[in-house]
Order: sequence, then structure tokens, then C-alpha cells
Amino acid sequence: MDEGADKTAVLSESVNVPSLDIDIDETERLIRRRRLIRWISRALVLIGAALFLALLHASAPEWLTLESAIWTVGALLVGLLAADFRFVRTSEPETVTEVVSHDLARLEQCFAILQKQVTVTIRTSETAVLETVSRLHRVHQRSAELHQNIMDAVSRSRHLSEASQHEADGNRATVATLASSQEAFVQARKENQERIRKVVEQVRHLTPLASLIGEISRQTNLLSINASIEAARAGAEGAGFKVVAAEVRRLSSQTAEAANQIRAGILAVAETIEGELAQASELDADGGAASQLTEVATHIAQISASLNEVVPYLVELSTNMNEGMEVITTDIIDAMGHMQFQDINRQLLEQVESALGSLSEHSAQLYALVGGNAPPPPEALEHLMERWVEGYVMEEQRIAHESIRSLGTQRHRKGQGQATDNGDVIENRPTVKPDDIQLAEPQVPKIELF
Amino acid sequence: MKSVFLVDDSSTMLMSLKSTLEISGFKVDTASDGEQALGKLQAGLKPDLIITDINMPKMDGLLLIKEARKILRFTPILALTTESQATKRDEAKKLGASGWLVKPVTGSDLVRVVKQVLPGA
Repeated sequence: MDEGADKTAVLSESVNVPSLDIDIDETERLIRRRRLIRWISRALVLIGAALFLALLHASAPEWLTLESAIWTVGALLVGLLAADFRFVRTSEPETVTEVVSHDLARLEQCFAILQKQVTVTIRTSETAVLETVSRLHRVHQRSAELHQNIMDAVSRSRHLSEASQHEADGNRATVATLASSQEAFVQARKENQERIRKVVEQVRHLTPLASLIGEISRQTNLLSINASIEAARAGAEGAGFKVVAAEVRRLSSQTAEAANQIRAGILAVAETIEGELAQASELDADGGAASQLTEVATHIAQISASLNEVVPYLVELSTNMNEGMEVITTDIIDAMGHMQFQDINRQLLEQVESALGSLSEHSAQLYALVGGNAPPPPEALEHLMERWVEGYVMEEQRIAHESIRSLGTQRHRKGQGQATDNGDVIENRPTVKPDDIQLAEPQVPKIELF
Repeated sequence: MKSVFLVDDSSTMLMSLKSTLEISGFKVDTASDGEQALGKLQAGLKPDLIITDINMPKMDGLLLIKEARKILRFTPILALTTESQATKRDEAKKLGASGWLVKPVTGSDLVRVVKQVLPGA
């Protein structure tokens, strides 16, 4: 009794239903006792009958032979045994009552078990959905962080590329300007060199003049010598002339010296200038700064061209990342929306749970009725079923209920059923298959704004 | 940032809807039944949109819509429910609901409807 009560209390507490009213162990003991009493009473009947027949045979053997007595007792035994088999037993209220009582006692426990299973199903699915939604949220957060990091990197790269490209363009222009200036400078220098060559040439052209001056000086010197000779011939009258001749000789000597110096100076200047021109020509021969600048400008142009390719690539990458993130976000929120199935199932299962509870209560009331300890249940099962409809929250529930109920309330008429050997009629109840139940079409649109 | 007030007795519904709307850029408050929701509104909560279930313990969604309309006359109120009966929908509309959504609604559809009801979101 205590163990049964403990089991009942634990089960009731876990499913939040009224405690079971039926003590199953006591019921089973009662049934076993009744069965024992029945067997004992039948054994007593059999023994009594055997004793009576034995006495009758002893007192009047001519009426009842021993063989007949034995056969009679045997027939009585077979009859008592046959009465316990189901296909002969017709309506023995005591046996039917025992079976119904036994099953009703178990029925309440069955309903409680099913209620518990439904509750476990609801809780399990709820836990799974909460975990799934939480994971989806975390996935989206991490995706968003990655997306932001990548977009920041792309943005920085793009800015750097654009800045580098701008700087490269600026440098290229500067280098081009430098190269242009350098070329102009080189050209100007060449022109200067050319002019200087011409000047040198013109200076060299002065060399014959120096020679002429020297010749003139030599001739003048000869004249002065001649004049001195003539002055000497002239004697005293030629003294003044001798002085002039000496002075002329002196001037011609100086002129010759000047002519030599001029010639030497012209040659030195020409050689010096030609030497400088030669050096300058050597510098131009090995390429110079202009060509190097041109090479630098070419490299800068190549860099700029590469940067021109990078920026559009980064723009395309940025666009793809944004589109990808939008797709991820849409998929995640749609997946979260699908989790609503759990709420729908929960509501369906809660209705089943409630119905099982009312059936459990009803079966306890039936058990009490069969035991003769209580009046009939206050509410018939048909009315109980109608009450379930009031709690439905979906049209599918109402349609399913009505489709089964309408099949089950068909009245059976005589002749429609299958007759048994003893004349009873077993009604032909149509079996209901799951495919027979049509799902309801919604009465309202899925989304409607007023 | 626009704010949305969710009312539903199902913890999974609250969590999935809250996550969906927060990902989409909304601020979200929640309540697990009509009574709790009304208490928050009376305490001063002023959301830009209310989304409520209909079948809830303590106070159902229809009564919440009726009472909430007394406090917030112009705030849109959407019903998000498993109920697909026309009579319930008509009753909600009469009490002041702005729309009727039948579960399950995809996340994309929900966000689209919310943005439609909240211009500028």
C-alpha cells in the first residue's frame, strides 16, 4: 500500500495532475482473493457432489453404479472448468467487473504516463529550440564581426591604394617635369657648347693675325736695321734718324713679343675651352640624369597602373562581402522563423496533455462507479470531448476533432453488423486511417494588415 | 532605432522573434503574458510597435489589445498567433489591432511587415 502510494505521489508531482485515486496493488489483491474464493467454492461443490453420489451409490447401487457416479462427477468437473473459458462464458457480471475494474485501475496510470511523455516532449523540444536560436544568434554575431573586420581592411586598403595612386600620379608629373627640364637643360648646354666651339674657332682664326703682327714686326725690325745702316752712312745728319731707327727696332721687338704672347694666349684659351668642352661631352655620353629620370618615371607609371587595378578589385570585393552578409542574415532570420514550429507543436501537445488529464480523471470516476462506491461521472465522455473543442487554438485541431467524431457517432442498426453464433450483433465500425484526416485550409490570409 | 514590444507566453517564440528583430536593427522589449505586458505599458513603456500572441494565460491578446489602445492610441499593434479563425481576427480588428499574422511566419516576412508598419525603420 505504501509503495503504491509513493509511486502515485511521485508521478502526480511530476505531471501536475490530481493524485491517482486508485490503489492498484489493493485492487489486484482483491481480484486474486475473489478468484481464489471462486475456485474454493467450486472445489467444495465438486467435493460435495462426489460425496453425495458416493452415498447414493452406497445406499442404492442399483440406481447409480460406480461407473455412472464417476462419470457424473467428471462431467460436473468439466462443466465447472468450461465455465471459466471466455468463449463459453456469456455474461458473468463478476468476471466482467473484475476485468473492467482491473483495466480501469491501470488506465489511470496509463494516462498519467502519456501525460508525462507529452510534457517531456514539450520540454525537450523547447530546450533544443532555445539552444538552436541561441547558436544562430551567435553565428550571426560572429559573421557580422568578421564582415566588419574585412570591410575595415578593405576600406583601409582602398584608401591606401587611392592615396598611393594619387601620390604616384603626382610623382610621375614631377618626374616628367624634371625630365623635361633636364632635357631642356642638356639641350641648352649643348647649344652653349656649340656656341663656345664657334667662339674657339673664331679665336683660333685670330692666330694668323698674331702671325701677321709678328711678320709686320719682323719687317719693321728689318726696316729699322736698314734705317740704322742708312743713319750710320748719313753720319752726323743721320743721328736723329738713328735714334728713330733704334726706337722703331725696339717697338718692333715689343710688337713681336706681344704677337707671340697673343698667339700663345689664343692657343691656351682655345685649348682650355676645348678641354672643357671635351669633358662636358664625356658627361653627356654616359646617359646623364635625364635618362635616369625617365626610367624613374616609367617605374612610377607601372606602379600607378598596378594601383589602378587594385582599387576596382577592392570595390568589387566590398560589394561581394555586403551581398554575402545580406544573404547570411536572411538565412539566419528565416531559420529562426522556422523555430516557430516548436510553439505550434507545444500548443497542440498541451491540448493532448489536457485531454489525457481529463480522461484520467474520468477513468478514476468509472473505476469508483464499477466498484459501487460512487455515482456515475458528473460529465459523460461525449460532453468531455465537446469541452476539448473549446480549448483548441487552431483550425486544424477543430477539423481533426470533427472528422473523427463524425465517424464514431454513426449509430449501428440491426442487420448492419456481423452476427455471432449466439445471436448478438457486432457493429461494423469503419476504421479511421491517418490519411483520411484532411488538414484545414486557413480561413484568413497568413499576413494581413488592416 | 525603432523599438518593438513582444508579448508571448512561449519562451522559444520570444527568443526567436527577439533575435530576428535585433539582428534586423530593432530594439526589443518582451513580456510573457498580457498582464505583465499591460503592467509595462502602464509603467511608461512606449514602443513604436507591439506584437502580441492571442492565446495566453492570465490575460489573452484580445484583452491586451483593447487595454493597450487606451494607453497608446496610435501605436501599431500586430497579432501573431496560431489562430486562423476569421471571427477572432475580426474581433481583434474591432478592438484596435493593426494586423493579423498566422504562425509560422518566416523571419524575412516578419521583418518586411514590421518595416512596412514602421516607416523609416
